Amino acid sequence: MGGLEVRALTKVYGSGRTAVRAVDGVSFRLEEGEFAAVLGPSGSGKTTLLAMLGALLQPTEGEILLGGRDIARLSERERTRLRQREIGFVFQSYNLVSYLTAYENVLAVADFAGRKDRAARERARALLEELGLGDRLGFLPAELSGGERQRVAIARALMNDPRLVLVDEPTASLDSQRGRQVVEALVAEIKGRGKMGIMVTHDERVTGYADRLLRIQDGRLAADVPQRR
Amino acid sequence: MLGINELRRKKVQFGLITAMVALVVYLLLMLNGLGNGLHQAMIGSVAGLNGDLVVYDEDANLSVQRSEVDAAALAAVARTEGVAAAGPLGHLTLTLLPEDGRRIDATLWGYEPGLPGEPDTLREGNPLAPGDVEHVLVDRSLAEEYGLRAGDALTLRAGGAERRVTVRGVVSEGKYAALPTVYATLTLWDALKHANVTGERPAASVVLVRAAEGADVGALARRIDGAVPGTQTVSRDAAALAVGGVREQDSVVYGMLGFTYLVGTLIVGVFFYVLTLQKIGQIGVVKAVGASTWYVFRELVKQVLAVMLLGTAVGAPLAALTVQALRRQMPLFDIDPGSAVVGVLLLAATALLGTLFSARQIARVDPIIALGQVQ
Repeated sequence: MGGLEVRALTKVYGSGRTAVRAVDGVSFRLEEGEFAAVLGPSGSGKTTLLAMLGALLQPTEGEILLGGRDIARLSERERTRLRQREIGFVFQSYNLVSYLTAYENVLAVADFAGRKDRAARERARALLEELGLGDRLGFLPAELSGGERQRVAIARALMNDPRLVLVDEPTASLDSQRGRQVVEALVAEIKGRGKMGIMVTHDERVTGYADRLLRIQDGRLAADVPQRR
Repeated sequence: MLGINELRRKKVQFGLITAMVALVVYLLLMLNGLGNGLHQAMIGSVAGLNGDLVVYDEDANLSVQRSEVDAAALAAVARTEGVAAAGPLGHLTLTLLPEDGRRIDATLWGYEPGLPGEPDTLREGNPLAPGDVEHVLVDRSLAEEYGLRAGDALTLRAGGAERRVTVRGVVSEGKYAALPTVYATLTLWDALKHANVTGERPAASVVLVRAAEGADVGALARRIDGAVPGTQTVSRDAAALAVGGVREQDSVVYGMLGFTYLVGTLIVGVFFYVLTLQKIGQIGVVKAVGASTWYVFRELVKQVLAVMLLGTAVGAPLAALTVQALRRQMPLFDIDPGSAVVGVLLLAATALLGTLFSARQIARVDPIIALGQVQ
């Protein structure tokens, strides 16, 4: 019930002869506490898949059951609400709000949902401390290193206590050592809280942290490989 | 949370726009002061006349200077049904010569004590008795700007006639046609105005009418015009607006005010529009992580309100101080607090209207841009 079930998910751009099937009949299932890495060359449709899972893009066909509820066909308002409560995002280039401090960037998520209460403030602080940013709460993104910024983004993704955390190329702007540290922290946070995580990457060095490897090729799921860690 | 923090952390940008708003508010209030001051200077004494209707000579085209009413017409107006009281009012432009050698151009109103037309805002000294030709009342501009007080001696010079009088009191009435005013008995007015006239002469310039309790003033005006041949009767407010040049002057000031609103709206609207365009990427990200379009727009509105509030907090006291300082040399500036508040609120409202450009942009941002290139 609590997991993620994707059934025959398809996204078609354009129509007729110029139609492109960016994602083509992808099905898989993810249990709570599972962390999957989606691998594939650029243009394989992995970002499109991530966008649909994150309710940023309406699929052409197929179902996405998150906690038993189909999120494939929701109104814009419902999708905003879903992202507010059920989904956490970590983007490629951190994408923090430049004029908010680390702490405020995390707390803002609670404010979007209209719940900037005491509990939220304590949660934001605790998350950042856990990620080793206890002494960086009042720093603006420009004053943080790349790894620190990405850890703020991880705290932000967890702030709303989501079921599903979606991660887009988290190591793209980091050197390999920092990249590994960030992914380690990410996996620890997600699995430690019994959440599901899906990380899109083409960085083979960090796929070892995933429970599952989903290989995408030309929009299709080419392989679904469980990994032992 | 986003809006106010952005304001705090982009002090230069928001400081500049706040300074602009402060200047617009300043300009708005100075124009308000000028418009109100000029308006009052033109019509203050007519608007303050003690009566409901003004009866003119039909050929005068609502000009007090040209109007002449004879005794028969005055009596006929007083007899008209619905008229509680009718008082003659004489108008005269003259020169005042106080003891200190200055010469002051002024308007003189001659009235019959006890009848409509008598100023009822005495704030110093005593009223005039009927037939008194040795005393006058002066308006507040003569008291404030020229320092005339009850008891001061004064020579009135009009045409060839001269009269030495004493100021008996100060009234709160305003100016007329930008000239300070003095109030005298109709007897003194007649003596000055018609010093060289022999034989028949008009009884007054206009007649001021107080309507009976509960009477329909508009209907009464028509009844007077019907009953008394050769008259044109209008309300006191219409008479005030008929003072030469008032409408033109007001429309110039209103035109400038209109442009001030337009400029203010554009400055604020364009500033926030450009700021919004610069932030498209960031807006995409916050929408992706759960902010609604409405949330982002609300933060923008908070910023606009904060900027308007700060700008007003700077601009309004500056304008008040300037007017205070200018009043000595240029008494024409006179801010009307009521219309000033309405004006500032209107500016805030039009500034908010300007954010609608940005609202459209915010609504159009697709949160998917947070993922970079998708297909």
